[in-house]
Amino acid sequence: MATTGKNKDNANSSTGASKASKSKGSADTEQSIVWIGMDLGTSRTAIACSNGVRESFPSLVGYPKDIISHKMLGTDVLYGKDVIARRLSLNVYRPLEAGVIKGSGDDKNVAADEAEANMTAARQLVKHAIRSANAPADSLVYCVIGAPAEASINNRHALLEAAKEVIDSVIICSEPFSVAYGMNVLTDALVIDIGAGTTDLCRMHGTMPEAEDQVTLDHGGDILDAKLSELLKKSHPEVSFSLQMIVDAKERFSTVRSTSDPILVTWPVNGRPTEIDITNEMKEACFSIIPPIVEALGKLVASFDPEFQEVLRNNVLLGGGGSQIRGLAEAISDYMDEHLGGGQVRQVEEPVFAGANGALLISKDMPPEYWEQLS
Amino acid sequence: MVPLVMTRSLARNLFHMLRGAAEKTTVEGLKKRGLRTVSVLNFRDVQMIIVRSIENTLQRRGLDFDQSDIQDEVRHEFLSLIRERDVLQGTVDALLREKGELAENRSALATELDKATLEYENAQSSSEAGDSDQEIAALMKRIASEVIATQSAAGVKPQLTDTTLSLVQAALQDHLQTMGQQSENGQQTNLNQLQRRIEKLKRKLHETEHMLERARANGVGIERLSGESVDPGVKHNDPDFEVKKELLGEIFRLNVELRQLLNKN
Ligand SMILES: Nc1ncnc2c1ncn2[C@@H]1O[C@H](COP(=O)(O)OP(=O)(O)OP(=O)(O)O)[C@@H](O)[C@H]1O
Ligand SMILES: [Mg+2]
Repeated sequence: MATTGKNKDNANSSTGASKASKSKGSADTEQSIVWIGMDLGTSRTAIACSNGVRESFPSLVGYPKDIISHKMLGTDVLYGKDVIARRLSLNVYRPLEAGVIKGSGDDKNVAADEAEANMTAARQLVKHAIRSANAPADSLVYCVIGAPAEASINNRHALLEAAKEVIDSVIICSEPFSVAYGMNVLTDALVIDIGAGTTDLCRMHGTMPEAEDQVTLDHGGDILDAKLSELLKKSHPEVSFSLQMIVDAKERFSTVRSTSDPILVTWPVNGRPTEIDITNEMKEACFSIIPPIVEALGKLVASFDPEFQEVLRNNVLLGGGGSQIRGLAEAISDYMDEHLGGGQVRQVEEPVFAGANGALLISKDMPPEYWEQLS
Repeated sequence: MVPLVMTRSLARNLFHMLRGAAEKTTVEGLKKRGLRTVSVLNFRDVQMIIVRSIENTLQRRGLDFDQSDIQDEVRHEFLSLIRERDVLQGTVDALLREKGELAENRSALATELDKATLEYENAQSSSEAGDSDQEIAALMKRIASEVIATQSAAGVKPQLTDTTLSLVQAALQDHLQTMGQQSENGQQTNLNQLQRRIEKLKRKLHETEHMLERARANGVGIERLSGESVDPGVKHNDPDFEVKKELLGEIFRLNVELRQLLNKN
């Protein structure tokens, strides 16, 4: 009898302990919030999160072309770098164009089914980005997404729709604004964001930038690639190269410095790998983006309060993947000296994460009640 | 080319030093100490300080390096350290997952232990009850009356009948005893097995609880390291407090308007 009693006690205490630990467990996972800043770019998507996660990957979504590819890849969808590696067996989508979802505007050139497919791809891309934040399943996800300043209502709607499923509360914010906010530059400054499809310029003056504060140029990384390719076809007609090879070379060697080691690539000539000097072509192509940028800067400066024009000219921030060209900030400053009578340009600390970092800062600074109202 | 100013190992040591120097605490702990805002160490700022100090030192010594090259190198180093930290984050996630599994395991063990204990109790009470002596007596009585009836009908001497009866009784007793012994042995083995299982389950439960306890204790430090404690909203001591509040309010209003527009359509 005594043993039975003792066992009963133990049984009770063990169930007791399991209950206690359950309530302790739920306190452990007490509903937390993960803040995320997202830069949904044409060529790259970057996220910076309050839990320390930082990710950046090409804005690409790929679906297996056929049953065989599907079997081989063993998945329905691939993202980012994997898409580049497996592009031959995939239908590839780059769902963002000039920073907005392709076909989400009033562009009549995009067929309805193509717009639909891009929308799906964009939604999956956003989901993928949020998944990579590794937020605990029961936490709330609050996300600020940077969108091009001039994105239309329909574009913004499409972004909201894409985000809805995976984000508990989402705020859309002008991308150049978030870059500036992240650098703690809120007033009397010009932000240049050199992306793939476009270069965006934005004037900061202590309130939200409006249409007249922004200029979008078609001159971005893509144009630079086209220019470099054109120059090389002219000077080295015997060489065969693909666009991807051009991009790779640019991302490794881009420079506008007058003094630099020769830029050599090994590309095929009649099927034989051959070393080619592309120094001049690289510099010329890289330099080609400067004049249109400075011209646009000039316009934004000239239409500003004359008293503050000088301050503005001397407070130019340079960001975006395309700003990683060596010596670019100095070269733009010099060109401004020549054509605008002076200028000071500094590069943001992390060109690729500047937008996401700023968006994260905004999301954390945003009062919690705003987030709740928008969820 | 002059060798790298900041070697990888130096940068790594710096990173570890900063990390090691950071106080580990929980948000709850901070609240208890009455702290509402905390300053978070920003690696970008640290990076800039390092770049500056390297540049200044080199300039003072009259070594003229290409500034942007130094910046590039230092930035590269920092980014790779941050990437390393991401790997660490992966480990943290794995640990957290393990913690979840441990907790699950623990509650499964507890349930099993409950079940085994109940089984043990049932087995014990059924063995205690046993076959009642009354039943055996009744059986004996029935056999005796039948023996007497048949033997007297056949004209057997009562003395002989008595002998037969005592023989039958002895045989029956014998049989019952072996039967009882057997079932008692079976019961006992069963009970012993159950008891051993219970002991083992208890031991496992204890171990799991211990591991879980340790995972929890570690978890505090790990979680603190992997993220930063966020105190949402613009900080009151921010020199741009007013401007930022204004701007954030504007972003909010624009987003509310956007939703209203969409709801109308
Ligand atoms: N080292 C480099 N030198 C020059 N260009 C580079 C370098 N690294 C990346 N780029 C270019 O930067 C561009 C991508 O920049 P970014 O990631 O900021 O674009 P995005 O934000 O996706 O585009 P957008 O802002 O137009 O939506 C690409 O054209 C890429 O080739
Ligand atoms: Mg961009």
